Amino acid sequence: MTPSILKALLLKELHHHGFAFVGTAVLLAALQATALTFTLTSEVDTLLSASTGFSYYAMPFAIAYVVRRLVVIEHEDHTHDFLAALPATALARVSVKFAVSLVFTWSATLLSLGFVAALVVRQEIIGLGWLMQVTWQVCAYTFAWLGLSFGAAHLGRYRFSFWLCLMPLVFTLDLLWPDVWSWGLWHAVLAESVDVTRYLPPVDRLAVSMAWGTVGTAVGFALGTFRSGSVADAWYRPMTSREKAMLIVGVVGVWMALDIVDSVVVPGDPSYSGVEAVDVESVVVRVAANRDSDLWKTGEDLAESLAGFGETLGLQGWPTVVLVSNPQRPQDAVTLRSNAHDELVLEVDADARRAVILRDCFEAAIGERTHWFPWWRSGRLWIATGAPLWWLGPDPERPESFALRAGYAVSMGITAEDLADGHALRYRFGPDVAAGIGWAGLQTVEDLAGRDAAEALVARALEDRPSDTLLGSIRADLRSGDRMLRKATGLEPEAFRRAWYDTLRRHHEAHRETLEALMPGWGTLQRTEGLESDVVLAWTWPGPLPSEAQVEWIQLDPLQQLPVLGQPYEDREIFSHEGRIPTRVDPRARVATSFRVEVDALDGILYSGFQVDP
Amino acid sequence: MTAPLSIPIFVMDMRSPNGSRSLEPEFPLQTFGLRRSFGWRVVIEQLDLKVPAGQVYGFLGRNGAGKTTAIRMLLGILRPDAGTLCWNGQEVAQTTAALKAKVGYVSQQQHFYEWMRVERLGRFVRGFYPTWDHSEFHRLLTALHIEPRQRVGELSGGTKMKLAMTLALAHRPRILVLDEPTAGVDPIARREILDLLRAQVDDEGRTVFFSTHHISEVEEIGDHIGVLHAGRLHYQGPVDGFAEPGKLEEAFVAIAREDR
Repeated sequence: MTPSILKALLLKELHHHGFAFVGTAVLLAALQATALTFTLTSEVDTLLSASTGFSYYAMPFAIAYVVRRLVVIEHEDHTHDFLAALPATALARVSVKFAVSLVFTWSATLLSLGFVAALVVRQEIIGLGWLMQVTWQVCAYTFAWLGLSFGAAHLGRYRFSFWLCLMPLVFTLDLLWPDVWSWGLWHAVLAESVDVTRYLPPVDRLAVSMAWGTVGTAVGFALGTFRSGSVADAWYRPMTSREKAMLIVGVVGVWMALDIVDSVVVPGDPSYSGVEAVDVESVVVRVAANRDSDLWKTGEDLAESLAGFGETLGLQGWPTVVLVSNPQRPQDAVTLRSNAHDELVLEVDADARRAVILRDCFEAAIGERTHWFPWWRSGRLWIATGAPLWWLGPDPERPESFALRAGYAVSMGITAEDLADGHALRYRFGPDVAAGIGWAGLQTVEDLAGRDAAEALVARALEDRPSDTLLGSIRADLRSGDRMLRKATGLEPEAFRRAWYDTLRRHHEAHRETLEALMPGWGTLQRTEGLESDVVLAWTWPGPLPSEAQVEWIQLDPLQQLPVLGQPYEDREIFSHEGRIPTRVDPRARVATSFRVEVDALDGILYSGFQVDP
Repeated sequence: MTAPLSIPIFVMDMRSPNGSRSLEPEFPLQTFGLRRSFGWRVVIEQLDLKVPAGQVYGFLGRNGAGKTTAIRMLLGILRPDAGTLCWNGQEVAQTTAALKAKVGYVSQQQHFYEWMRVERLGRFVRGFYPTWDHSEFHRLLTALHIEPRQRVGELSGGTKMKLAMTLALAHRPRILVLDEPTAGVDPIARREILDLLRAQVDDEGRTVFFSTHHISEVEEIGDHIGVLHAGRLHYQGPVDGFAEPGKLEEAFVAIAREDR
């Protein structure tokens, strides 16, 4: 492998493909710019994440094009014969082709990333550390695709069969072993938004992507140099009819086998079909515990409550609820583990009070019916969130808890107009107080129009299920909260909301002293200069620190006005101590913070709502 | 119809009396027991070539006899399943890139990069040969009436073959290996090519090894002949030892029929 030979091969590749590759890079940049203009209208994605998202979808095609030009066309045009006759080793030929493809791939990737970063650095906080992290993520991702494409290109006429088998195979493996394979795929390093992986660098997935790329590259080199590359060249000869037929049969056979595996395997969590069940009417609650346990009794209570609720309101089609004990003292009494295949698996804190567990499970079961509610129809959300409390009533040990939740909203300055938007209520007060407000709303309906009217309203709100048809979806979507209220109760929405607000005020008046003592005030955040350019966040509590007080914070990008409630931000952290948050943030970053305190009297959690600084 | 001639099968014994290889310097190219198969089909079996220096060696065989496979093995494009090669006394299992750089090779079909101009193709190939003589390249282009600025894709089949010979000769190799250099070219180009080959031996003292299925070409310019049939070498030696002048074709046909 003399320098002059490498130079000759390199110059030839540049003359041959340089124009096409530069054109491809320009096309990628143009598409990138188009994608950015779309992203500008988005409130959630950052521009840098849009850029990497673009790379995620576009680069595999660009890489396939590059590898096709460098390897495939050389064989198809038989110019490989000419190259092979020259006094250069097969290793030199393959090395130059791989080097050119790698340089193009990474150059196009880095140029695109650098272009976007330079463009948006005035609008977004893009620290050097983050940019470096995104760079290695994108480079590892493209290397994995390049390695696979390069290896597959040396399979000659079998390369399409390889891709046709590989894709469904990895998805089946992902289904079979989600924990292993969800991070075992070559594209996992960039599969999530870089906004999400920003504070949780996917280092483990980096190694996986590099491994896929390395194996693919090694296969490419092995085939390209084996017997001086004559085997790979021979594989580019056209297939015989017999071979074509056998290959089609083989690929279809693999698909069918994988399809059978896919249909048999229950993905993800283990199946609970063997767990003993409590059956009440049409409600099935499986309990992974013996019949003498508290969990079993809770399961019985839940089944009876759901069956009674369903029978009274005429609601059918409940998911099978599976209760699994979690001995590791989770933060919440009930945690949703999975909700696939019409099976709602709930992890239960074995030490929590039964009334709390029952209420939370009941809420989860109803939540399953309503989680698909379109957000723009938030006028009916209060009915769904208030219904479990309204139906079950407060825990006898904490009889005032719901009234305190409702009254708390008044002490935080809620108005009658605020009651029209259920999502805003949840965002502002958190799910527990929002449920208390909903409870008060249904109480108001009951007071004004009677119990039957309240039941009819709840039934109407919960009977909607996701429709398979467009018309069904539109019909369900048109049924707003106000329309439901009129139809089910005959109440006028504006008048009802004033009455509802009065109910809240009555609860507030009745528990004024308790509520005033409950919350001395929220903590504050202070920005102080760090050692470098970072800023350290610190928070203090004005009064005695409640032992359950916690602060959570999210570093926002400037385009993001507020965090999305319920979105799993990776950079959200919860601390239950006073003092400095042991994580530094960018000095230009906007930080959203909220405080939460678990209050026994309310039998729930109080939220401060998000405050954004600056 | 003439009766088939009785042809003596003349295969040289490549071993010295004590069993070791006889690597004779007057034979710049030798092979020992080369074998190559594709799947179950054996294409070359026990090929023992001995190409004498400073002569034209005609490698004669019918289409499909295995000539191209043998030549691709000589040039290291294909790896032999068994056997060894000997270039200028250096015995190897496969022809390396360094050895290839000392050989001028013209393949049967020319798969040049069609987008290149002749001049650029010359500059590209120059990088592979330390002994490349660019003025010789241009001299040969002129002699063979090839326009340097023309695109390769625009050249006729005969001109492409002449271009291939130009590329093979421009680095001044001591030995030339050509795979059916006159296949598919017009009579004028064929004449030019044959004259050029003869001149390489007579004027430059080079060794020429070329394959063909035209007996007349061997008769015309060949000093030595190797007759390959069904992957086996049936005769190797001086042309006049194979058959009397004018009876080469009969002898060749007799070999083909005898083996049928």
